[in-house]
Amino acid sequence: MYWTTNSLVAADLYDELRRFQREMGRIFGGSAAETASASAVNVWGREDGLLVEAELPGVEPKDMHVSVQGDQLTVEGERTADEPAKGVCCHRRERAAGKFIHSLRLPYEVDSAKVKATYRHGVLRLELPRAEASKPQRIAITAG
Amino acid sequence: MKETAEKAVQKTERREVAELAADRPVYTPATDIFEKSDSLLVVSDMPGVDEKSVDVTLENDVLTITGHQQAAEPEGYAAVRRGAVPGVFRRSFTLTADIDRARIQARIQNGVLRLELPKAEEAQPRKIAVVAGG
Repeated sequence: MYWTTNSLVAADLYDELRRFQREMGRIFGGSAAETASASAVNVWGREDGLLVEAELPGVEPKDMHVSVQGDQLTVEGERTADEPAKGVCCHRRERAAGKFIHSLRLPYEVDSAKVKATYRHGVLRLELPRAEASKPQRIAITAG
Repeated sequence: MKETAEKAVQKTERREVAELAADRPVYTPATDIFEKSDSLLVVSDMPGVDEKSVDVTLENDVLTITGHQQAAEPEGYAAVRRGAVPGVFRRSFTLTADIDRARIQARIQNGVLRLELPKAEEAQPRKIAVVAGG
């Protein structure tokens, strides 16, 4: 482990609860009903950088904006809905449209100038190198 | 407010009647369905699914769409937060109109599957011309 996890726990408490609910449902069986939704964001980490994957289907890259400030990552954007033509009957409308914003607290500060973002098959992938200042410093101990 | 603003990055999991043998979650893709006089349009969100991993079947008026998420664990990284466990998107709809199976069109772009199901000729409304008779 190269970071402390305390800061992430509070932010993801609801996701953790939903996951717990899902596991409980799986163990004890239950109805075929849908379980709650969870934010579809993955964060992977190693000593020198992070990888973030967010599922954002149907968003044009030009309508997406990623910003990083210290250890705070924000992805915002807008998804435009298909406006049905006249005389079209709408049976279901479940796909979310409009503005969205998703903030995440990262385990350590990243270098915002070196962040790389790609969008493929509806998944936004971010490569975030660790900020030099946040890298752990080894302190030499001398025998006194 | 927060709920609606974050909806774009959420996905819904469900329990199926026929469970998946593999230990992968099954998700219900958010879907829009539009109907025109001559066709039906089904639009489903399937992030992480490409044209090779999607399957559409129509059997006895039941349309089933299945998409397998292609997500690989990055090597050398440890999971910090797992909000998106790769799984299977699956959903079935019973169609109420006769569909011309030969002309069904499906395409997937940016993780959104679009199906156009043209109605069969006999199922389309027909306008009958009325002539004034003497």
